[in-house]
Amino acid sequence: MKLNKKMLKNIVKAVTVTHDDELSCDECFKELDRFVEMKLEGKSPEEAMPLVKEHLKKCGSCQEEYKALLESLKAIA
Amino acid sequence: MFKWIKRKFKGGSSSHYTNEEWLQLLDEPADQQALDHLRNLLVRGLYAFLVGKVDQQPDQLAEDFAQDAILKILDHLHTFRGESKFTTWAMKIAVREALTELRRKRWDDISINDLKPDDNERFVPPQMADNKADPEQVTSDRMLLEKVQHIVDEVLTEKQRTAIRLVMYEDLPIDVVAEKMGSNRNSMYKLIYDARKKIKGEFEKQGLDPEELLTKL
Repeated sequence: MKLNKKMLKNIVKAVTVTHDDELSCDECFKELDRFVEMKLEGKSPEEAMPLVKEHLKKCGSCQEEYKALLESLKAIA
Repeated sequence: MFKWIKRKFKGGSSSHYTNEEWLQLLDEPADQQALDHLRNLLVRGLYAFLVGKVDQQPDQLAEDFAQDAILKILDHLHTFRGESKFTTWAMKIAVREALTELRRKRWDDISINDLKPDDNERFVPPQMADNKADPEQVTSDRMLLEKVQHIVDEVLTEKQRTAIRLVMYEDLPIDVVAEKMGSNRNSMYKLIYDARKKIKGEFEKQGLDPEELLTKL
């Protein structure tokens, strides 16, 4: 695999956000309902659950699901 | 359309039952009224985000996804930890099911073999293309590029290189990559996480500062 601009940049970016303690997708999913409820209650889940926040920043699929869940819960409130 | 869906699925608010009541009512044999109430909530919630995301029949899709989600929810009732409202937990499962299926359909026709990188796009740092650039800087940048290429070639497994290319270059969702590579989403995240850690370790060993490197890209 020869690196091109986009790949090289994304790899280096990925290194800057790599930490020893990261949540996997499943671990993030387990916490997501609590995270979303805090958000809807106007609290700051980002401060209370920083590892979930970090995972959502890195994982596009989990981020998409988080946003959709917020929207869904607002609709049934 | 939204008025129609509200009329059709007038299921009341999400706090119709307590968590304990939900668990009791949905335990086998599940109470039909509770099932209907849950289905209505899921359909309303799913419809809310589907309507802006899909072109056709979001109401029918919401019904289908809710139906699939209910089976999964009933199957996983024992894993509900009671740390949120039951309906939040159930909606979380329904949303994941729906989005996973939508992503799968979107990328269904694409084989990972069709997504080969174009080597002609190989990166040349701006300084290297500039004849007036400081020769020392050019040499230094070329060495950095070669080092990163070497790390990717030598430290990562073939599987990790493929996963990184598909996620970081082709922008495929991680769950789609997992499925196409015969894995699952969690394992794929771990595979890529291990790859990132290996690269980070090599950066540290070789004294490469990723933040500084980013400013040159």
